[in-house]
Amino acid sequence: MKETKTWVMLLPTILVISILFIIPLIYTVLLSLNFFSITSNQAISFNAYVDILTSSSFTDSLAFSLTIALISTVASILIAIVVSMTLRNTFIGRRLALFVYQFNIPVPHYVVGISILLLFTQTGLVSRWFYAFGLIASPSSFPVIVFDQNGIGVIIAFVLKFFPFIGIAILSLLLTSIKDYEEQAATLGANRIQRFIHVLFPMMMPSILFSSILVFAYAFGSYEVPFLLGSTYPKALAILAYQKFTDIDLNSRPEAMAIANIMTIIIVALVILAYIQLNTMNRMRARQNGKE
Amino acid sequence: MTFLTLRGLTKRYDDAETPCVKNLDLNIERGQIVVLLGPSGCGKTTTLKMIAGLTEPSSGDILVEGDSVVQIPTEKRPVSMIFQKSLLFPHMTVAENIGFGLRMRGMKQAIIKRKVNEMLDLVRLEGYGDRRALQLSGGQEQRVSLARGLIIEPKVLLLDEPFSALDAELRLEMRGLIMDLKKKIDVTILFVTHDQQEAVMLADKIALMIDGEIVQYDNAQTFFTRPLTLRVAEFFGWTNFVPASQKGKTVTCSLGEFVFDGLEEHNGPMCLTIRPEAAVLCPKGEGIRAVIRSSVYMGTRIDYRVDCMDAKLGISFDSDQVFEIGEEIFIKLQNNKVWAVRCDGKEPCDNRIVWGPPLNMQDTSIEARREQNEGEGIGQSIGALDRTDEHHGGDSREKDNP
Repeated sequence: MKETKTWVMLLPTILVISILFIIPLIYTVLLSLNFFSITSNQAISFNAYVDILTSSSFTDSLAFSLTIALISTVASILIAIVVSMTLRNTFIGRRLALFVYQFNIPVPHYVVGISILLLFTQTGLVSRWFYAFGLIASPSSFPVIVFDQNGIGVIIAFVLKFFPFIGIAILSLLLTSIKDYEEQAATLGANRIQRFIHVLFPMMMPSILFSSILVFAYAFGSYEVPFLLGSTYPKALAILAYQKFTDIDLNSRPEAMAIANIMTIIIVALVILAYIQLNTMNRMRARQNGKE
Repeated sequence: MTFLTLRGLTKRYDDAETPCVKNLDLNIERGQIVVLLGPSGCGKTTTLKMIAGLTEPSSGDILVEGDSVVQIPTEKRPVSMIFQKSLLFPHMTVAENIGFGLRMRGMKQAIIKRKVNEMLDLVRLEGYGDRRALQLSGGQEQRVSLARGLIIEPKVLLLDEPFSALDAELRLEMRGLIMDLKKKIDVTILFVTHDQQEAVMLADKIALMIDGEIVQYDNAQTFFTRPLTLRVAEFFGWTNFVPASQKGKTVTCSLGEFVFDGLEEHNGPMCLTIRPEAAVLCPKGEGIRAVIRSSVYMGTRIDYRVDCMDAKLGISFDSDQVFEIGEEIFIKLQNNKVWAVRCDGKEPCDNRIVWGPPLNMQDTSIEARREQNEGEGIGQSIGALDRTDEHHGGDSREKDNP
């Protein structure tokens, strides 16, 4: 009886997820396999995958997206750790600093992208200030940060959005029980660096891993920020997929779906790996909390 | 020269009106176990944290072997601290936890391994080195924590209520372990607890701390025989407080006159404190007349409230000495369980019984038990005791008090 009630309660959620997520996912896979081809050839084939995996535009885009996501995530983690370690201390103006730290979490990525655009293009505010102060000969000699092939503008936008998100997870941990472990390590002779390396960082790992996997997945599949700030080549995978999907040549649609599916597989694989690791860490932590 | 010295140690937190540790002076000899005893929130842990360097004192000094350590960072102080929680690092094995302090000092792996094994033997955890810290019971965790603190060979070991999270049996076992370790290792220990029994069992000396101040620093026995103040007396189980006055060496109250060895001469108001076990029975007509007002069966003893002269007292007898409510008995007070303390404006003395059964509980104990026992066919045990034997059960060899 109780189980039936539970399932009835869960049913709306299951239905919504099925309709909005699982069914489109299956449809995407089928499309990528040429199953609903509107051309004469109705046979299921892996041609779209073969074509995609052998095309340099895809491999370049894959490398670009992975690089952008990886650098953004790692940079965000590093900044989040440094800022959180600073913000856990008591100082005058800490409340204001905390507000500023968390301020851009609810700001949409699109808005952050526009801000970067306004600030860092060669005709942007920063380049004009540099020029006004005589630091550069002309606005055009300002380094190319936006629309560049290395995706620096994209990375800056992602880092601005991600580090407070990861940082909040770390800070909440630093302000609770982890402090006792740090004090214990200090009384055992560990200096500040040793305490961080041997105690704090390993204990922060579950929070860092959880939030990083979220931001990595977001950065890897992001469309709007690379669209606003990225170069024309290589494109981020999401942009490449969308372009193929909206191509006037309908034969490109299976390729768009194949790209989408490859992105999904990469992200799901990462999530599963992170989940296994997190599960192990959480089990350890739960047992520790249970004992306390 | 004292080994650990606290000199005028004070801590006032920014947002607090009064300091939580006030001008603390304490001298601890090498190799002693000193217990910092006191109720929760009296500043014990703050004191320990100041010694460890985890909290900065507002003023005062901390000296180890005569050298001030106040300016030395925590990791370089010659002390080690064991906390209430074991705080074993969950991502390390037992051996890694124990060897942590040595690794931080850059010691060679072979030496660390040998010392860790020695420590595991010492805390009776041989063969546990490869276990994860989380695979241990509460008692085992605290033993690992102890080994981790001792392996770095601190001059002073600070223990902050390390057994309070353990059950009663484990607490006893751990106290035994501490006493064993003390015989094997040359370390000075400052142990914080709010458990009077634990303090008495472990301590060479006890520093009783109340409201951020050390109110008495003595060996355990003195707290039970010669408390300095009313609050010390209360903390150590002195349950009766009777207003008195002192003239010279004589203390006078409604129960009579008392002269105590070692009591400082003084003229003024005093408070006579009487331990519950101070009363012994006398033959009828001898000693002080008392009337039973209530009783509570406590297993091995029965606690009574009595009216005695103009005072109300809480006294305790073995559970085979049973009296009816309203019954008249004659008692005398053993001199070594009666003491007088000065009272001042802060601690006024009124006739009160800190311990003792509330009056409305009176009939539920003895009579209920009598009925219960009779129902079970064992009514004789309480219901038909030989009153004559009972009344002569007191120790007549004790010195009489008036």
